[in-house]
Amino acid sequence: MQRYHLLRSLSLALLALASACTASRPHDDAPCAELRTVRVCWDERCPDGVCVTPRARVRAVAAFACAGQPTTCVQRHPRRPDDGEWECLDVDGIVLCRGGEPAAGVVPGPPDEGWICRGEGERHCVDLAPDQPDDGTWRCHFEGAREGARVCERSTTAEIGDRCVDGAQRCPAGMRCAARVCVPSAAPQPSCWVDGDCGAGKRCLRGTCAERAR
Amino acid sequence: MRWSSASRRATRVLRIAHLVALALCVSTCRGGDDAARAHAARLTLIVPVGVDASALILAPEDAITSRQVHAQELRIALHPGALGELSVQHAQLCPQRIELAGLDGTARRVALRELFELGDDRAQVGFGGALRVEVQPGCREATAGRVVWEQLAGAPLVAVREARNGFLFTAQMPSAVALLGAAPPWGIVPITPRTRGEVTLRATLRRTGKQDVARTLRAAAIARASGMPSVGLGTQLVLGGSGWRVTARPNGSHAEPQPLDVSSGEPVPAALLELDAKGRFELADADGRTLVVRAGSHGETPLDCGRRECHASAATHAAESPMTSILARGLDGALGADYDPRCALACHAVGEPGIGDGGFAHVASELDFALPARGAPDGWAALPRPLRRLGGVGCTACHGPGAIPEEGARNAILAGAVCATCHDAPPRYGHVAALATTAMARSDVDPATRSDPLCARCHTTSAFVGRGVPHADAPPIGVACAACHAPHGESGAHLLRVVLPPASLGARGRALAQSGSAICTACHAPIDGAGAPYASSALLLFAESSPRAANPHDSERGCLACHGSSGGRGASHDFAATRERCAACHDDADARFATARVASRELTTRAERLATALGVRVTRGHVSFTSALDARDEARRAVALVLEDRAAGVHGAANARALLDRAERAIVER
Repeated sequence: MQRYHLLRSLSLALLALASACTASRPHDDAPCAELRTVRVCWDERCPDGVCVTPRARVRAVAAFACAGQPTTCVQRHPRRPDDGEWECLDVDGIVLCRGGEPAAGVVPGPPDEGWICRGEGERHCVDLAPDQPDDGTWRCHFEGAREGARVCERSTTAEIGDRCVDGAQRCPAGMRCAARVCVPSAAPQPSCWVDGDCGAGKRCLRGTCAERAR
Repeated sequence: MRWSSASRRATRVLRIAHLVALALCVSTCRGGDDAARAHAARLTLIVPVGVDASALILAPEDAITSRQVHAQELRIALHPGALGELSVQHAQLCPQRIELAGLDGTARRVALRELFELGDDRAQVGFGGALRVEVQPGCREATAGRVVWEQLAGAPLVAVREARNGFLFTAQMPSAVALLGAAPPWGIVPITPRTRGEVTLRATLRRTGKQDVARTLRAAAIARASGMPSVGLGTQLVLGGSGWRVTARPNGSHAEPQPLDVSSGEPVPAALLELDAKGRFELADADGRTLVVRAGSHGETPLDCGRRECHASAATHAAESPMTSILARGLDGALGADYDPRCALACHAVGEPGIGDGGFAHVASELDFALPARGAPDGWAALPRPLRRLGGVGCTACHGPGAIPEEGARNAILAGAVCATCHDAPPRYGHVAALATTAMARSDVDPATRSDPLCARCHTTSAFVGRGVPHADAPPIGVACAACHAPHGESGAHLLRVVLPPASLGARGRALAQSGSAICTACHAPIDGAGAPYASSALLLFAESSPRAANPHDSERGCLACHGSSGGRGASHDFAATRERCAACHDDADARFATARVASRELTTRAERLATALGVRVTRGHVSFTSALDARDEARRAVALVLEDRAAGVHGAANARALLDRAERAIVER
């Protein structure tokens, strides 16, 4: 019995030491994204393919002006992936943008951080952690797809990055509840705006072409 | 069963190792530095733009372990356990006392307030309007002194009054008559820095035993206007003409034309209209003449002008234009330490400061972003994206944020009034004022010069730049800035258009192609195959038949050697070859100037005599031939060349004489 306790403590210590370095850590080249409060990586080494860790650094939020009852908050100058021309919309708590052609008469600066972009010519980008007025649950939309403001209203529906409880507050299709946060089931690969961009049998789910649910 | 003490110790050691490993795991995930810094209190003092954070005086000094300046912040670390208060002083700021107790292990940010403020610059006070400035003390310490006012720039204000120890300043802005004259032109009246009645005021707070603190404020009677019917939201437009009314307006607008100036008894045939909503305004005057104006927000205007099917070339060239990058270069420190981006904003960014037009200053205030007082590496990258899109002289700075104008109003983009919104600010920018004194500025006053394609080619900006004769509704704008300068930056120095000199100038013309004078030759040298040789100065000056050594005025700089060589800041845009400009090379300029005039007059008189014999007439300033071309073409052409150049005696006296000799021989041989 003594030997059993000794061995058990020894194995626990070794496991903890090992886990400090490797366990639940995705490969360095695994696709990752920042959500509002967590960082998500998609990798086979992660439990159920998704690693969720606290977000190291949170972006500064561009200002919202809130008024009214129920509260409506307006973000006059929402983020865009870079200084180019973008058309954007809010879907299930993410912002999806397409475009990216250079803005005429503008000296470009660095791209905004946190966007996942794909494509050449017309690009598609998603921001999985769009600005919100506060940590609550919000549903937002753009007023005019181009340089218009973004308007947010309180919502009870969990969206990406919102807190969730399996079985109680479900996540939208294509997401799963991991570490009590709704996260995309697979790494986003933004390449579409509408279903027609994806070809037969597929649909455009938050900018990523996905198999149609049967 | 009992454990031996040795094995208990071993188990305990392993459990501790387990806990240590867990702690290591947690700290790896969360970043373990915080614990080490747990007790060092950090305080960040934020100073307003223009205030040197390193000049803050802190006491007691021994409470501070380190201090670092980062732009407008002074970051200090305090001794753990420091007690009492930290006193923060700066001559321009309200003194501040910060309680140190309870700061341990925290990071606190404290924004320091200006000692006093004057509020935002006033962009459109109104013609004859009442300017009222209330000094806003930032703290009790600022209320003790007296504020002394000075006017630093602009036409003297009238009815100046100060009250409450100078904490209230009132004055009357200049009248419309004083700024625009008694009869402004019909339609949207262009307003420039010179005609907007801008004044700069300085308020100095004087307190016994304290250092004086000064602030400046700019105020103007009216916002600038380019004359383009695409205008920033919130702008007040001056409409020349009488009886203006709004016949259609966008949703939400209540705009009605208002009297231009109620302060003076002098009625000015014009009205004031504030564009209070985004969209299309239709206006009509008392005679039924109509005008369409569109209002928009600069920040919301798409900048997709460079699409392949639209203005790809212009957008590509604009990307290289120094006007596009002026603010970026300034913020990055490339324009020198004296460059203050805040002062340059009205002309180095889009929009009118002081108006809610979605321009740079407006959006900066929405974002609560303060420009730094000077450039620094990565200054441009530090701007928020919405401001980068509005920094520099972007598309909407000239074209306006509204929309593409009606067809009849599109000529307005070529008018000098567009450039004048910045380049008419003597003595600093005298380009537009100088050009206005030239014959070129009035080259299309005669309607025939605007409708005949041959005349329009050199008499109108539109045809000169290849856009054909101006629209029938377009008012005359002369040979404007846009004729010679390509604002989208198709070329290099001074944004001059690239022009290949006419073949009539031969090899010498080709050599001029890289000089600033090439653009002049497009109209001041005969066009090949155009019949009568209109405007021949360049041919007489650069004639191949004459060796360059024989004509000392044929210099490397070409025309501009004498017609624009002096008078910086745009004053040389009068292009006059004055005595003063001659004196740059000639000690005896007065005598030479007089001699050249006489020579020119003699040549003209001789050419006029020959013209009669050859059937060459001069009508409306140009030569024409009375009969079809025949064997005497060369003689006629020679006479015409001399007649077309009233300064032939300077440009090429020897060439002119040779031409007239040839014409005489032709007559004799006949």
